[in-house]
Amino acid sequence: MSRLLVFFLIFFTYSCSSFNTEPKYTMRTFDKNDPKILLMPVDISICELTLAGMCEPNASWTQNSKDNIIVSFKEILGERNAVLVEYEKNNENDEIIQLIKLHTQIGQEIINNEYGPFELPTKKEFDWSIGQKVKLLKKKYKSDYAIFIYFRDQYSSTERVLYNIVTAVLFPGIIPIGGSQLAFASLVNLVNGEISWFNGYYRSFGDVRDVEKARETVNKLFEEFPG
Amino acid sequence: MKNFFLIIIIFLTSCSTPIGGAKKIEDIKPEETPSIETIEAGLWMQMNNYEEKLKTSGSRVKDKSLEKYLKNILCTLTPDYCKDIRVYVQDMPYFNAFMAPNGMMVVWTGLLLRAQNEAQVAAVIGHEAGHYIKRHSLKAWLDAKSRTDLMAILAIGLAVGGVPSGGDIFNLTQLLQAGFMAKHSRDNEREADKIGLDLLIKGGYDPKEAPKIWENIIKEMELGEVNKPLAFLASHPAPEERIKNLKKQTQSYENIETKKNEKELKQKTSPHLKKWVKDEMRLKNKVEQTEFVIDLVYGDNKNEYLLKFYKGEIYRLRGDIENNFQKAIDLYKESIKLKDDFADVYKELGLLQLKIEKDKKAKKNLQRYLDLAINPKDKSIIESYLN
Repeated sequence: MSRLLVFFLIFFTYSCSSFNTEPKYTMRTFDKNDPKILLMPVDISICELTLAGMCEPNASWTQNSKDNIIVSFKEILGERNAVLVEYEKNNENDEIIQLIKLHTQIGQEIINNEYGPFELPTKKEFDWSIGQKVKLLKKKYKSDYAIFIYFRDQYSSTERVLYNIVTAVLFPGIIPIGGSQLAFASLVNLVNGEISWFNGYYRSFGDVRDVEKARETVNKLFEEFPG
Repeated sequence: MKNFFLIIIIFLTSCSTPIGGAKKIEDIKPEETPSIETIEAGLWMQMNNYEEKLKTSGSRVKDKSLEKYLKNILCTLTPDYCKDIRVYVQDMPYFNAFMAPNGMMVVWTGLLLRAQNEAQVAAVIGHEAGHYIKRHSLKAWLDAKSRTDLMAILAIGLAVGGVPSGGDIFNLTQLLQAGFMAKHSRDNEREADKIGLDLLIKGGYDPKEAPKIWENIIKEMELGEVNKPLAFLASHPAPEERIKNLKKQTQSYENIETKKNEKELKQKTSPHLKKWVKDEMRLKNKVEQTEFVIDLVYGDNKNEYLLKFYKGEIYRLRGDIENNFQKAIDLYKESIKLKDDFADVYKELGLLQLKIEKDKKAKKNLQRYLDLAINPKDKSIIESYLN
């Protein structure tokens, strides 16, 4: 029972805190022509909110959305004459997986500290790094940069939408949570692990399940991307 | 207006899946994977992500041969599902194991520490495999979904119906719901117990070992705080009932073999015992409870010196109250009487003597530690005490 309460609290807190970021960067243009950019595995999970608000993971939506995001990102790179390098799942090792996990952690810290409630009072410059270990990727993929994308999204089921309407009418003031989207992406320099560009947002609209809307979302995420 | 809401509520109720799941869910077949449109595929996806993280997690025990050994037990029990289930060992000092819908099985070190032979571990692995075969995660998810849906609708319905306080409605529906969930989960556990025992017997193991695990857990629990049962039991049937069921089910089999493989298990766990025992002691359970676990581990005659040493450790770690340090020193001395070349005991004895007696014996014991220990990491700090 207390677990359920905690869930409610988390949903509630999430619904209150929303951020829409300005992109952060240490460079505006790539330091060489036609840079090679390695696309790391997109960390994505999409779920459907049940009537009561449980987040039911949806594999099919997740797969479609992932494909859509990758297609849209390739277009962005194409406009900038950057060369996309594909990540090889079969060729991965523990150290690379650890790097991906580290990036997710640091991405969340950046959101908290740069945009969110835990802004660091003395940290003025954007100088985040995921460490020297990225050289592994540079060596293995002969790339200049790596791009990491993190994406979480929820959509309300029909039952949930109806339930929201009924609740809102019956109990003015209580608005149950609808779907929401949390995303961030970072461009990591594979020479030294520095995060050269970062952007993220949290909002309650947007859809990446169809390719047109996904393009819009990805363009928003990659605002002021170097090139 | 009220009628309008009533209609909507009825509509909402009709959308949600019926409680308990009206459709019968078939057992999962060997090498079956859910098709991508299904709810099950979503659960698999989520657990695949989790498994990916667990693989490189610091909490995973870095002993491939131990995991392989457990996997072999699984394959002996159920060759059909051998390919579908992966076994991981996680460093957690509690008695637990769990099964994810995608075939990720996790065994905690606290369980391996308590198991007395391979047959007991096999009983647990068989039980977890039962969860997988019966798709219990999917069933539990569907069940939780329909119950929370119903709760949400009920809350609106009661409010519209004119029941006065919102808080009470919340409590009522939550209570109903918690009760239903626990019952459902206990039913799943019973089913898994049944499959587990069947696999255990077919695998040639001694089925009498299955209830023994629960007998030990009951004993351990009774030694502990009355109001602090092991977390594992909250969603599981009462151990007494499980013991009864397991014994009854065993009677229905003929030609039961008695493979226990005590040595095999001990050989695999022995490199880790020192750490696992330390972790257990850090939990600071009641002395009797920890002693019971240590007894399970080192209770055989061969290892009595370790039993004495660790019992001494239990007292030392509790600090100098109720004469604990003296009790610890006495136990260390008994340990030395049984075996006089075990390094660790001289160190702890020496350090305690230094602390409370400051006598010459302390230095002598610390020196003895340095003589016996092989490349001790704390060599320089111990030497500093000697001068």
